Amino acid sequence: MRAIAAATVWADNTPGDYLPLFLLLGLAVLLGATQLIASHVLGKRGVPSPAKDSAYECGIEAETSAHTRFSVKFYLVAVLFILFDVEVVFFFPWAVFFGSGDPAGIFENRQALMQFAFAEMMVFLGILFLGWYWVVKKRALDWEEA
Amino acid sequence: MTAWNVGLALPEWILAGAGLLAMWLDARTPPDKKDGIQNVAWAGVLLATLAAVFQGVRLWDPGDSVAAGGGKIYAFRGHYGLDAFAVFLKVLFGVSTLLVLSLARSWLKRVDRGHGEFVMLTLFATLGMFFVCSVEDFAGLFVALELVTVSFYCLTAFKRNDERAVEAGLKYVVLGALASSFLVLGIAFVYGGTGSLDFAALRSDDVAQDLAHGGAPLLHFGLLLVVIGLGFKIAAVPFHVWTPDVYEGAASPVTAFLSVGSKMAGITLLLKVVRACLGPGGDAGLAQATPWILLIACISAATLLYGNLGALWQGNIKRLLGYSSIGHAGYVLMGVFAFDQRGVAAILYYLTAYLFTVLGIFAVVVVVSRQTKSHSIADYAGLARRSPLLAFVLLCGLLSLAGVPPFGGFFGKFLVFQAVVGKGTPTAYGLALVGAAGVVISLYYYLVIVKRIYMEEGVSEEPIVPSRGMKAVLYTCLAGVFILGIWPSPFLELAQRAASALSSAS
Repeated sequence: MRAIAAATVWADNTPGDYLPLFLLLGLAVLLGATQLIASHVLGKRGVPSPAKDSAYECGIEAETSAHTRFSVKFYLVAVLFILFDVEVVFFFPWAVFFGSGDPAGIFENRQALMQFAFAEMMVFLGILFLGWYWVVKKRALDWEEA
Repeated sequence: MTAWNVGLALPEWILAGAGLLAMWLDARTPPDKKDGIQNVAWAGVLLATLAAVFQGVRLWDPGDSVAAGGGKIYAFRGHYGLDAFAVFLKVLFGVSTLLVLSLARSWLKRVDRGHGEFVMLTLFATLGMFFVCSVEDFAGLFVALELVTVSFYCLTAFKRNDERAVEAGLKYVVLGALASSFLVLGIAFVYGGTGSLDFAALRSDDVAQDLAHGGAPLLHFGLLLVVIGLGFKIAAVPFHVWTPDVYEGAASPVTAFLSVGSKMAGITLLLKVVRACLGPGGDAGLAQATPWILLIACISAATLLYGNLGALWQGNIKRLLGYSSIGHAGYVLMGVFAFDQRGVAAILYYLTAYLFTVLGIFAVVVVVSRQTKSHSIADYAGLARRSPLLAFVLLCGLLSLAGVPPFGGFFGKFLVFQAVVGKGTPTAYGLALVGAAGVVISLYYYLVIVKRIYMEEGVSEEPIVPSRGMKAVLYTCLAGVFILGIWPSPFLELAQRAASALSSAS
């Protein structure tokens, strides 16, 4: 019920409520424009200098061409890492909701909340582990195998 | 509204189970024994469709307690709704997936790897489509639509060694991500405007007043972004750019699934959102907002003209079908333009006919390209002599797409035009005229293909023999196209009931 009460408050909002957002947008545009204009005005364009050709700040001097091929396995492992990493993010809202004890009053009682939360996490983990099992069986994590 | 009612999502449970089972089997079976997974998928989709039919029978039984309660049942505490509209579309999605899986069966024999993945992705996309029919809020809308779309990204680039398939996949994923970001931003603005993600929040009298008279600018802006995001999915101009390339690059069964399943999912959501914006009675809100009416009319007219004119110059049959699919999105948007129950019924009938027509044509494309190794329309010359059955299915399919009686496509177009002309406004008449022009243009490029099949000599006289599974698909689609054209009344009645369920949705 409290969710609905919050909704009615929100429904009365005006475009003015978005003022901070527009301020942020203005600042972002201003920052970008300042940098572009400043570099345009101050920068000595077309004038070569040793400082301009050197690697930027903490960069290391390039030894070979960057356009070499490297194994697609890097991408595969990176994608799998991101996938499982992002899935784990789901634990956080779940844990917060579980720990907060259902402030919006969606569930009848504590037990109903616990039953639901447990069942949902088990389903989620089941799907997650099935995906992991599939990845292992497909040998996507075997670095040596072709 | 507060009950969990978990069993109501039985078709979705079955599909999810089948998808996960396919994953498990795919991990456990050696590469040369993947046929079992296809059977699991087929059985899963069949069961899910039957479950949806069974739910529909219960929903439509006037003596049943459910129908007495307004014809709509909720599950998952109001986040999932089931009415005649949802059931109608779920059955359409189920039937199209069954046909696509049958189409893919003979095609997969020529593919040396990834059978399990293809089946899994198809099942998950179908799961998304089933959820699309039942979502009741914008969060569900986004998740269900992404489940469909992400599966399709992978399916499009399925032939990973084929340069054009990878290019198509990349284009689709980049433009799709862009469209999704529009959609999410739109949802955020709608939330800002109404304070709730529920479709029901849009359906109040206050919001209808705002929508009709230009109040709540941020809500309008949000809805505009939502329409852009959904317009991408149904390939409406100006959000259509990906369509021809993706249709051409993807494997034919995937293109078939994309042009039927993905498009219908977008249309379903568009109808649900538009319905929510029409006020409690279904005749307020956007239906009275002149700018919105003009906007939909303009998108529809542009889509009709662009799709049909673009198709004129195509030499590749899949590209041509891509442009034709843009054109058909225009006809569907004509139904949306009507903003009433008649328009929705017309769209539902249109989609039913479109499903059988397009899948029949793609079945022919799969069989022919298998032998000729080409998608060039020039290579369809003399098809009538190589295979009378394929030529006949293609003839009926193309004429049905063009809207010639006695095929299903004619009746769909007729209903859409009727709904638009019934509005009686100058805009409606203008849009109907553009639609009629589109029909005339489309007749030309469809008939050019027909002429090639029947009147020109081909390079080869070698007969093309479809496999038994393909014949089953071809005959099913042929039957669908004919029955929907000759005996429309039972299907029209179902479509009308579904449309009235959407209109009265409380």
